[in-house]
Amino acid sequence: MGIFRVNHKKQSDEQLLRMMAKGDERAFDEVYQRYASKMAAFFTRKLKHDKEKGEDFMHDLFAKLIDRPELFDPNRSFKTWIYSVANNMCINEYKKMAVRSNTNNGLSSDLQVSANNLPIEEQLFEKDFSSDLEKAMAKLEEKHKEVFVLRHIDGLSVKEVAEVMDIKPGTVKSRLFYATKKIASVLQVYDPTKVS
Amino acid sequence: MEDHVKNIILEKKWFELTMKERMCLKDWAQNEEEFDALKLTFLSAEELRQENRGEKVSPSVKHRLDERFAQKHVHKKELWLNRVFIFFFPKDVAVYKKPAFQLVMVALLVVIAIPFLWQKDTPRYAMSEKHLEIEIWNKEKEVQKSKSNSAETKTTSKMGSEDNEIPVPEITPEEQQPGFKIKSFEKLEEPILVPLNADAYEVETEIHEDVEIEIAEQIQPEIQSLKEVQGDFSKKRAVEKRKKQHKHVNPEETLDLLTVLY
Repeated sequence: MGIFRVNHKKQSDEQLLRMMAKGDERAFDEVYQRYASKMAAFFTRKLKHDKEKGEDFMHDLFAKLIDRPELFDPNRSFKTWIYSVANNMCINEYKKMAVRSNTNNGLSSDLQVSANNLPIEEQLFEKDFSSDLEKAMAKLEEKHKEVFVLRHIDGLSVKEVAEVMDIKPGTVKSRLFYATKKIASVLQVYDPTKVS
Repeated sequence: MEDHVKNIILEKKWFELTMKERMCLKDWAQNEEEFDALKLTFLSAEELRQENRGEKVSPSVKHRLDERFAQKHVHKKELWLNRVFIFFFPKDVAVYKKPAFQLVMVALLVVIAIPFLWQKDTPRYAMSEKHLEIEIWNKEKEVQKSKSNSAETKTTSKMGSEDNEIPVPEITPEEQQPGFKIKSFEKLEEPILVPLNADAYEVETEIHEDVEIEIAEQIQPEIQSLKEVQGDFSKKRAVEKRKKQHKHVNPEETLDLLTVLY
């Protein structure tokens, strides 16, 4: 019940989180506006391009933030914290998926029989990689791909990527260099005429 | 460093690069093909980034989260409001004992008192007749005293400022009678004749004459105005008579005083 209205757009993420924990609904709206689409895209990309699943994961992440705001350490950067949590959620999901795939005798539940007569390999290809870049990224190792995505798609700095992945900045730089060179070479093969 | 390289690749073409820039990109691109491939990589990444940014999340997710947020915090708000309400309007308490009522009353008192706090009017008290008489007497005495002081400075005599204060006697019941007559006020101011030596006597008479004239001139309007205010003229006369009676100066004392002074 402040006398003056707070301009939530000018507040930092950390300040917004503090206000949110006190029950400020507008602070929550602002945090949601800043990170909802980013997180949804992050989850969708990491979870085999399943948009619905991505949104569900994003919902779970924000629900966690609402229920237990004390989980966030105000001394840390919120951006790196939320990406770390999202990353950990994906890792947990991979583990669950691995268990499920074992119980399904090696058949992935994502690959279902569809009306079109395309082979499963092509279905997978069409579903997962909508652009040349994504096709190129799919050829990368997970650790290299992750660094590249966080740096160039999500726009995190080298330091932030290092914090999210819990590795040294030097390691991030070397992985980034390798990933960029690899993607460039793949893209050159896919469509070399695209460069103007 | 990495951002610098990215900027060079995005902003320039291979043939536009300076030698310094080529040295900078040595590890990244050795020839034009590699340079173009890198450019394509960064452009595609930027494109994908923009796509992700523009991607809209289903509104149902937000709706569910809003409900969750409201459920979590509405209890807190209600509790806070209830506490305030209970404090200001407690149950089973008389109306005048409720803090809200008391606060309103205090505020009202303050609002009423504020206009009277900074008034600069001097107080005008009701005066009794007796007080008026005393005031007239004091005023006359003050004028007389000031004039005598000025006369003393004129003659440059070493006469000390004698205390002319004469105690105001109380009014006797006889004097308070309406028919009681006193001598005229002007006669009150007659100079007191004191047997002195020749010089002293001359000085003294000069002073008294001056004072008598000046006093008569200055006091007259004041007395007139005061007389108008005063209803009972007879009482005033009684006071004047008393003043005359008490103004009698012992010549011996005066003589002693003057001899001491000279």
